[in-house]
Amino acid sequence: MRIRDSVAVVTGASSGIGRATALRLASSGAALVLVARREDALRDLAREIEQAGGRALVAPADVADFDAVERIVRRAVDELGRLDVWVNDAALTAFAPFQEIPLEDFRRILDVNVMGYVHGARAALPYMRDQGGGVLVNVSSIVSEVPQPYTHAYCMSKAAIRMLSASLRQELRLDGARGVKVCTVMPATIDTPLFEQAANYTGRKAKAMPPVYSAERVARAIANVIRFPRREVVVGPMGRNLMIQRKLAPGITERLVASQVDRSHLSRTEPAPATNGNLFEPAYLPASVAGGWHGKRRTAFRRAAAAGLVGAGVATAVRQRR
Amino acid sequence: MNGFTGGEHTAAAGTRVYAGVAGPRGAAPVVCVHGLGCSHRYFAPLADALADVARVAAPDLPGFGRTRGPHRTLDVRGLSFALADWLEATDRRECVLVGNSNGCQIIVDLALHSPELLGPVVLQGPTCDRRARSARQQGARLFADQPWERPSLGPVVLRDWAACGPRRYAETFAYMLGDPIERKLRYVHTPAVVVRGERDPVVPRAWAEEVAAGLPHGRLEEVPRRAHTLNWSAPRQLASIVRPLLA
Repeated sequence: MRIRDSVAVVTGASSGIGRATALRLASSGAALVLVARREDALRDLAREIEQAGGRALVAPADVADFDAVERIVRRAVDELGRLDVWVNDAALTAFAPFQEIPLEDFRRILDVNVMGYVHGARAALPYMRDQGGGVLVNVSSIVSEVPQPYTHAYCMSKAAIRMLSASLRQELRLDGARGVKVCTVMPATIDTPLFEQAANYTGRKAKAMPPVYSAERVARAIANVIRFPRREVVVGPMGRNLMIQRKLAPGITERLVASQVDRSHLSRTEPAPATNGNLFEPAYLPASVAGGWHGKRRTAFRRAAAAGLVGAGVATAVRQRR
Repeated sequence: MNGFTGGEHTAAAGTRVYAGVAGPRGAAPVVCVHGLGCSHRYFAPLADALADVARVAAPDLPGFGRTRGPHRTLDVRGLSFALADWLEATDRRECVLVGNSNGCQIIVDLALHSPELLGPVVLQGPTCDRRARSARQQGARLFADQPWERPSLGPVVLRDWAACGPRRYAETFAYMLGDPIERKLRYVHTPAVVVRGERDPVVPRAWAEEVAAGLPHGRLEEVPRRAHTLNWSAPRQLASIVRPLLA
């Protein structure tokens, strides 16, 4: 579907992937409806979009509240005329040993990450079906396939989202709504403020587990599935590798990822106080796309290293030939 | 060349309507209604020619140009309802309406259900000739018109045809052929000018005269040595016909 002149709703637009996606779609000519809890962060973003010549509506809401989500759809249609794209992106997470995470935190994560997406789909799809077209993008994660310890609620929710998308695709097909597409985007580790805003009961600081990719990269993948809808898209080559590994050798992959999380996802030196993060109250951190994990710089470094390795390999091969 | 200096989006007719706009804000409004498969783009030269005295707006009707349409193709009534809704939403009641080709049918249909929105009307190359109301005849006439148009119109129109797609184009064409415009003309209660290019094979002189005679306040103007798409090939002459209608 063409992005120019379309109307797109992005949830979780205040920071991270949602913010990068909103900026990307706006620069491609879509009118945006920005959804998140933090109104001031959305206002800043809307100003940024409008200064670049775009159009954006600020719609502060908690996606766990279905009535609020329905109101957003009505507002989008009233003020912008239609609804072409819905990006479900708002998500929370917690790092905690299973017995120690408060059950209400666990419930809240499932409520936002799963029911929030259900609410978005439920409110948006009727309009898209009436129009005869539209794209629903559900941002899941590679942890929907590759499990991680200490983030049970998050992993569960991401797997649930993936299945929600698949099930909706089937249903839309049976109903003959051929023009309405549902796509799942599964990013690997992304440089966003998620890690710092998350709830944490491990006593250890949560870090972005390498390799880290930039949120702009996910935004690009989302724009691409809107243009050319695909069922599932993984962002980040290492993520794709891990997904294949998990299918080929599930047991080994589980054990490897578990120890990698223990080594590099949770710090062994930096402590962290117990917090419920941004679960119940929005974060106080500045709303930005990146989370200070240098996703872009790291990607550039990896590329340079890979190019160097290939170059060295070629040089060695050429020398041995002689 | 683009005579439009800006564009505006409006929530109307169940979609997000795009319109190319030109001319100073607050000037007398002129609305251009495009023909089959076209969009605001081919009105650019006319908008340019009128921009000194009028606020020209050319909306893309749902499904054409930059306005997304419903899945189902709209018929003549559907398109004129959409135009009415847009005129109301953008507060452009009783402004000068300029139609080209099939756009004229939409304007005339508007007179039936929303006479209060209608201002002075310019019907440039009104379709479809009562005596040639088949796809083959109209197709042949449109083909015969090609040599008389400026070649630069080609890419503009092809781009718009691609935007609306072959299915919508063909279905709209069928609706246009079935539209009995001659029976609706007497409801156009405002001043109306029928404009015809002298060499227009799509709108023969006899048909243009019949349309002008059927309008309560109609008259016929002819532009010498030009054909069907005067808004592109003779914008100045067409603009000089529109000017006196600006109140």
